[in-house]
Amino acid sequence: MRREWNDREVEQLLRRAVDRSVPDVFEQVSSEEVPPLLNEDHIVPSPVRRRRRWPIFAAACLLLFLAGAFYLWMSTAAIISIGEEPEIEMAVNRFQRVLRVDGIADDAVLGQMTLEGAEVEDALESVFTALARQGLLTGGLETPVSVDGGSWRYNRELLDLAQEELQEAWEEYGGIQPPAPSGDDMEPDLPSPEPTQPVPSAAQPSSPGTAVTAVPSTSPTTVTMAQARAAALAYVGLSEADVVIEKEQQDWDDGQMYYELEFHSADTAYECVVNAAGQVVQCEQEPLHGGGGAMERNGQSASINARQAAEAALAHAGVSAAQVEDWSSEREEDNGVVYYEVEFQCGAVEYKYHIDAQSGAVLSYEQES
Amino acid sequence: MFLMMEGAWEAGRRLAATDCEALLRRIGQGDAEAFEHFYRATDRAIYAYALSLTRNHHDAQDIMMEAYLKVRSAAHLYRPGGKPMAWVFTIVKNLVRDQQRRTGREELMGDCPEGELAIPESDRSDEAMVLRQAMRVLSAEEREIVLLHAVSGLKHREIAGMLERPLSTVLSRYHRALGKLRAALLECEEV
Repeated sequence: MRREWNDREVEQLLRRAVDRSVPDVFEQVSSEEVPPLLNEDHIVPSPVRRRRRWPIFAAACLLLFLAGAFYLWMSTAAIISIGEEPEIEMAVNRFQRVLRVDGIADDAVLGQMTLEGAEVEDALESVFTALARQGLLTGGLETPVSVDGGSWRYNRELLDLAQEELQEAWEEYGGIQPPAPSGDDMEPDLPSPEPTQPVPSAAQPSSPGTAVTAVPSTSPTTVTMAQARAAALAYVGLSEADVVIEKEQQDWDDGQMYYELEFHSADTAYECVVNAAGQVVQCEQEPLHGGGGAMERNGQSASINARQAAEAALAHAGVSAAQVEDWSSEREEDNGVVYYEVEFQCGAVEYKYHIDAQSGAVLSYEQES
Repeated sequence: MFLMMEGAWEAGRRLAATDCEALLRRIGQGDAEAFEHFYRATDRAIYAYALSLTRNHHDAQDIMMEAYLKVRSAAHLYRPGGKPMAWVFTIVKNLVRDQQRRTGREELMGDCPEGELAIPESDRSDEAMVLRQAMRVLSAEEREIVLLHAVSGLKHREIAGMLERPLSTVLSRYHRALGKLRAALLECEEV
């Protein structure tokens, strides 16, 4: 009868056959002298460690992800164009971040701004605000704004943002016109900058009429307070002798430095904003009631102006004009007493002075570190 | 006798699964007792593999001796964490290749000419028949796979890694080889 073998039985037969065949060579192989092998040869294999693939795979995936994310971040998804030429082009990625801003407009518009990396909404606000203050939104709400390059939906979204920011900037600053040239001259005849003189270190306030110490410009391209004052006065057609300066303050807004000045003539009160380039970007005026009321006609022998009040405060603090930043001098009235509130900062110390508007005396002061 | 043989095979399987690396480390330090223990547990496996490659008892014996001498001299080079028996079998295979190169039979690598086995031709027992048929009817790779698994105790996955073949290939060739052996046994019975 034929025998049917299964796999297990065949395996078993093989093992038995080998058992019967295997020689015993232990004595030969154990007794022979064998020197230790110094280096692996072509017989002895080098064990290859199985590389763990998953860390390599995970690292590769992470690299791919980072590369993809970087590509997406740096890729221009759309370009916002502002103006006819256009004057300003803003490249934006798909995450509404600004990649690059190019402008053929005056450097005063873009020069001091760092818009790369900013959210597009903030960047548009800064740009339109700067354009409006400089009187460069000549087209008003019709200023050409377009968006190209992205999907229809994204372009539409950016366009809506841009137009919203344009409208806001126009509503706030839209009435500002660029300063008109005076007389036959094309450029306003601004007085030369006043020489910088050290403020006397004595505690006594300087008397009216002493040399003015100009607050230094924050950079070589920005005007001084004195120049800003002169520009504002020229804008309204008055001279310094015709007005009483009530407030002169340097401030910053959206990265732009500007001067805020308040002064009055015999019958009109003025509030002007002058940008860092010396251009009057805003100027409001209103008639004084009752021929001046509590406001005195300017007579420098009877009262001091805001600048002189600031000088008195600096002198009292023993600080020079070159050392201070962000100073302001504003006329105030309290219980019939007219005084100037002067504030400035020198290093880490903040100063606040009340200077009598009549005598220039220090009424009170405080400092805080 | 059969129980004794089965016990020896099982003992080999147990060694391969446990402290083979520890024995190699001790052999590398010159421990003679460890070498004897290693020898007794692996002689059948190494002989069977050498036989599958050489198809010849005397050549297999020579290879077996050279392999043990190489293990003694190179055990200190073995890096733990791998598969110790695969390391040993690779030594065996490289020795066979080296031998064929020396004797000018390199072009035949993959299938050596059939030679004499330890069991005489006159022996008509089932185990003698199956071993003889394994040398005759199976291809070189089928012999390797069958004897590595059935006698040397390697798992199919380990054989696949050692031969650098897909597991499915090893499995299919193994079962095909056993089928050939079954068929060959049937033919022998009818003769």
